[in-house]
Amino acid sequence: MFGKFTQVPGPKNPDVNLSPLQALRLFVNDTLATRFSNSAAKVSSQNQWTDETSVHAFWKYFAAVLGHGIVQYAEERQAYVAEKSSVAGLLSNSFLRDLHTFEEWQHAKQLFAMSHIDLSAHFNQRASDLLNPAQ
Amino acid sequence: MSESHLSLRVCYRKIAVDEGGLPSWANSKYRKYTPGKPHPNAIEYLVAVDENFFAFNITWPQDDSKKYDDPEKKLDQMRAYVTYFVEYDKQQLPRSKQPYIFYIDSRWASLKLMELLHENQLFGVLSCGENMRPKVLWSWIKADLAKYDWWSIGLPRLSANLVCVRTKDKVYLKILTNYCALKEIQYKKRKRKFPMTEFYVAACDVQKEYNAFKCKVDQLNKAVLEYFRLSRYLDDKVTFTQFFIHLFTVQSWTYYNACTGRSLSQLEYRVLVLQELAVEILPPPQPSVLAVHWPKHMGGRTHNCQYSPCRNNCTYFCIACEKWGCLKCLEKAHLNG
Repeated sequence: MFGKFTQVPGPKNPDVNLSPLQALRLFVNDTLATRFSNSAAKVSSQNQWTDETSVHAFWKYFAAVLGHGIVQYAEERQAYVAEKSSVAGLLSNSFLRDLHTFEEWQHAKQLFAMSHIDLSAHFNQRASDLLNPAQ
Repeated sequence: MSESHLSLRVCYRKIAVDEGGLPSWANSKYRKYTPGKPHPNAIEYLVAVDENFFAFNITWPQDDSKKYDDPEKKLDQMRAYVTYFVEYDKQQLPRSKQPYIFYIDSRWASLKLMELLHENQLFGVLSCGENMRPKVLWSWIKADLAKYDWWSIGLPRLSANLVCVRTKDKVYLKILTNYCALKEIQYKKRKRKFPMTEFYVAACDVQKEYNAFKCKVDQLNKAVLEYFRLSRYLDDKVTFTQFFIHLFTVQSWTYYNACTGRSLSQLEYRVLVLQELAVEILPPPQPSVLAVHWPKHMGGRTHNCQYSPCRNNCTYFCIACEKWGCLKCLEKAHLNG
C-alpha cells in the first residue's frame, strides 16, 4: 500500500561537523538576509535615517534579539545603561552595547521587520528543503 | 529483514497539528483575546510538529469563529496540512508515499476530517468534542460508563473506531482513530490526595497513544517563547520578525542536535551561536599589553619601584618585564609602550 521505506527521517543531508552558526545559516540563508537588507534600505530612506542596512547590520540585529532573549531585562533600555552607572554591573550588557546604542537598537527593530507571510513562506520552504518529517 | 518487518517501521510517522500562541500587544488584526490562557492576548498560528521536534508548514488562520464550535466549518484549515504532506511526498525522489499519523485536537476533529485522511490513505488520532456530529451519539456512548471504563464503536466504512474513556468522575476522553489498537493495557495513575500512591487501571491503548504525543506543538511553542521577549511593540511586523528569529533558532537547534548527535540545551546552543556571531560582527578586541604583563602581588614582600623617578616601596612585580613597580608606574609604563 505504501511502498518501501524510502525516506530517511530528519535532516536530508546531515553534516556531522556542522557548527551551530552554520546550522542556523541553513535556515536563515543569504537570500533572506538580503531581503531584510533591501527592505531596511527602503525604510531607512523613507525616514531619512543614516543607520547601516547591510547584511552585516541584519546579523547584528539578529544577535541583539538573541542577546535580549537571554538577558531578559525588565526593560530593554536597561541593557544600554552606561557601563559604570549601575550597581556592580547588575544592569547593562557590554555585548548588547557593543552591537548598538539604544537609539540604534530602536531603529534596527523598525528597519529589519518583514511581514509574517513572507517569513512563513521562507520558513516552510526551508523546512521542506532541508528535512524529512517524522521519526 | 523481511518486507513485513520493513512495513512495520513505516507505520511510525507521527505529526501533531495544533495551534500555538504568540503573545503580543501589537495593533494587529490577527491578535485575539482568549481568557484563561497564560498569555490571553496572543496571535494564533497553526503548525505541524513531527516526532523529531521539527516544525513544518506554519500558517496564520485569522479565525474569528468560536474556538470549539462546529469543527466541520474548520475543515479547510486541516485540509491544508493533509495536502501539504501528500504534496510533499509527491515531490520526493524517488517517489514515495508515507503513512503519516496526524494527532489533531477536538477543535478540528470531525467525521469529515477522518474521511479526508482515509481518502488520502493517512492515519489519524483525533480527540473529539461534543460539538462534533452526530451529537446524539455522545449521551448514548457515555451512559453507564463506570470510572476508568471504556467503550468503542466501529466505523467499518472508514476502518476507524470511536473510543470513549471515562478518565475521571466527570471527564470523558473521546478519540476517533484509524491507527491505534483497541487492546487493553495497564495505565499508571497517581492519587491526587495524600497519600499520593500510584495505582494501575485497565485502559485502552488509544488513551496512552494520544497522551504521549498530543503536546508536541505546545512543547515547540514553549521552546520558542522561552527566549522570546514580550514587548509592547505597536507594529506587528516587529513582533512577527522577532518571533521568526526565535523560531528559526529553535529549528536550527533541533537540526544541529540531529546532525551532530549532540544533545545541547537550547541555552547552550544560543550561547554558541552568539559566540560565533560575535567573532564575525564585532571588531576584534585590541590586544592589551597588560594582559601579558600582568602585575602580580607579591604578598608580604616589598621592593623599591624600579621605574624612575619613583622610588616608593611597592608590592607588585611584572613577571614579563622582571621589574618591581607600584601600580601607577606599571600602568603608565605599559600603556605608553
